[in-house]
Amino acid sequence: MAPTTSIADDLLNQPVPAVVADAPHPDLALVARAKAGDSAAFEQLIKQYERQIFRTALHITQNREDAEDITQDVFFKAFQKLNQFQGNSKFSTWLVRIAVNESLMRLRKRKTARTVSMDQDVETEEGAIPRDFAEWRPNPEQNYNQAELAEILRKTIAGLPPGFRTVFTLRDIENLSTEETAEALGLSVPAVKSRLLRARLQLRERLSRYFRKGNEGSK
Amino acid sequence: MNCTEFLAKLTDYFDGQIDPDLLAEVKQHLCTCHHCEVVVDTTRKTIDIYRGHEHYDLPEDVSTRLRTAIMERCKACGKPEAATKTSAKRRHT
Repeated sequence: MAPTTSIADDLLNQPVPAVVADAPHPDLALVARAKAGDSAAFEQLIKQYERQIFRTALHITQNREDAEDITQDVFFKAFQKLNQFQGNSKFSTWLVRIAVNESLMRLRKRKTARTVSMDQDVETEEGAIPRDFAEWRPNPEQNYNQAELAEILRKTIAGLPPGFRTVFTLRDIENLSTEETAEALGLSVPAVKSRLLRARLQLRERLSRYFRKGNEGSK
Repeated sequence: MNCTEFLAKLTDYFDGQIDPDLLAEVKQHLCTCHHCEVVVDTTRKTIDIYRGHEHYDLPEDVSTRLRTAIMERCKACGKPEAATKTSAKRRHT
């Protein structure tokens, strides 16, 4: 039988880290220096976030060249508009918001006959209700080597509509909070929760083909 | 609590954002519904597998090339633009 404790229960059993109340985020000092013309400070911000921005762009566009271009454009735009960043949100969330917009614009250019937005295909009923109730093997990924697993995960997430894929990427892969995800995407918190549920259920349904008990021989 | 009501609470349950009374109902439902128990277990595994897997590595040489290109573009355009009154009022800054 599967464990039925919640993630909240798991967290309660972990040691609580010391938190300094209201400590300013270290990025704010780097941003202030960059605003004053310190290029080394801005380069430090690039080093900190280039991988997150690249991954986010690649998850949305599914194209490595586009993701590289977008990463460049995001940091260049951020530099140009740095004085508009007032520190009301995390600097990383501000960057992710730019990255999402740039990535969706890139998708629109690629698919000129179709509009691509956060709302695209979110009305689909696919995956809204679970249909597959097969149990999975205890460590399902162990039946595949790293390359096979990477391909399965890539194909599966690429099949999601962009609106679901983006929410899942930010919330579950990049570990943004629900509120940060909502802010980065310009969505309400309930909209993020709804799309996250649909994205998780659709991925689960698709991965089940590979990971369910009884298909050990079929890769 | 039926399966539809349980599903509506699934995101909050995974995120630990569920009040104690509802949590008790959710756990009660999970004790009696094998389908929902499987959905919870396999959805959690889905999240864990994606979180635990390195997606889309950015090789060091590509990272260096991108950073160099970005810094060159920034240096060519000088200092960041001054904030305007309109931009200072933007909601998402």
